[in-house]
Amino acid sequence: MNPVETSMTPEIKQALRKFLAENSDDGAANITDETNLFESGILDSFKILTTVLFIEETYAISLDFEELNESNFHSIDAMADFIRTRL
Amino acid sequence: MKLVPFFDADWDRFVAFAAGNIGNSPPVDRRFFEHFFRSDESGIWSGRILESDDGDFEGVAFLIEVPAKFGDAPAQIAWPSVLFASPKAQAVGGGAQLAFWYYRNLPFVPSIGGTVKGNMIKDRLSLRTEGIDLERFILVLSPRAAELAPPECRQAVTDGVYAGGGSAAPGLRATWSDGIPADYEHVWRNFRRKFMFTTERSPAYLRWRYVDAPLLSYKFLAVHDDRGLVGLAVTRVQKTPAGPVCRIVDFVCEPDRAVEAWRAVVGELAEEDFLFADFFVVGTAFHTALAEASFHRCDGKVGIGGLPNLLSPPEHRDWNYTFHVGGTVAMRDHSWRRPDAVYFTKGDSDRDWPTMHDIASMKNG
Repeated sequence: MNPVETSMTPEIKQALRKFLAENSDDGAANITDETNLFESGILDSFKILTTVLFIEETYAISLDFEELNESNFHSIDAMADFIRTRL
Repeated sequence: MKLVPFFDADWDRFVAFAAGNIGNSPPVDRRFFEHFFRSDESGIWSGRILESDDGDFEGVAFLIEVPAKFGDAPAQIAWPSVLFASPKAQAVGGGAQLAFWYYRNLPFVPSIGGTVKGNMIKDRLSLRTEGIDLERFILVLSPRAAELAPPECRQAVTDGVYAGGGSAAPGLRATWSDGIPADYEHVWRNFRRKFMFTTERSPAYLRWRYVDAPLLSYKFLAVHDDRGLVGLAVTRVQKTPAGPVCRIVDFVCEPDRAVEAWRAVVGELAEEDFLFADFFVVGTAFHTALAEASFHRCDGKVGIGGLPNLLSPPEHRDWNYTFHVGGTVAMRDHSWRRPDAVYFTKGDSDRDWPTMHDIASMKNG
């Protein structure tokens, strides 16, 4: 991972946290970067779609259906790692 | 979770999954599913299985793939039909993965109506266009139809009963049949030129969709003059406690004779014992002709629109009249987004499929 990519991580995480807080029920306000978003009910089939579209629009990337999986989306950490690999 | 193709050999796994997750809508009948979802003889079905990393069956999506025209080019459209994910899969976004697959990989993915929740996904992955929604037109044929409407709509239904008039042009006759008229293809070729985006309603398509469809029974109402076929309505009769209802699920006619053709159909329907007839359509092709033939255009569930769409059994469940199109080509090329450019009917997609109530009625004659 190059230094530029690494330096973007806090910004990505902050953007994801803000998006989830604005688009989820109250529970999203207290999540950490490691919180399992599926187990905590913050992401479901519909919310994961809105999150994917937010990521595509914000970072100008196009996701494949195979990338829409639990390992890439289970936490803010996982999503940020995944986004970084696509930038 | 991963998506894998559905092969013939997966049927038993699907049946086991369906028993715990799907219920009976649509009826889990192999002949019915093969007819609509097994797109060719290769043994691969038009859909995907959602599998856990251990290979467990956790969800499925089936689509109805049919030929279409898009501009001057042949196209393939895929109507999403069955989409189910197990609670375990739903908890990790499995349903979304299935929807994402077809919306992002197939060229044209239209959908008609549905629930508010379903529309939340469609609104994000496909396009809804102003002036291109599903429209319902109703011809009330008997005051007894009011028995199916909620109390606040009954007077409007009674007041709207067809009073005759606007009869078919002299020399036109409408006749019922179980098959497709031999001269249908000529009419279809003329009709299809009017539209930029529509299902290829060729004789082969009509045979597959209506004549050979398992568990469904359609009748054709053909309008002829002395020179040949002028128009063709495809109908399905649904029985209700108050009497039979005629659902017109498809219609094709000579482009410049729509009013005459619809009037001839109305004249024939009025001779039967139907409570009402209705026709659902996307696109403005027949708006004027239907009005001139005494159909009422229903805006929502007020007045005559209070007559339920869901008749097997009659129920007033919330159901919206939206039309969306997604898919890789439809999202990129917007030339189809004109109300006069598209033509789809209730016979397209799975909106005309039987419920278990229908099947029980058929078995009981």
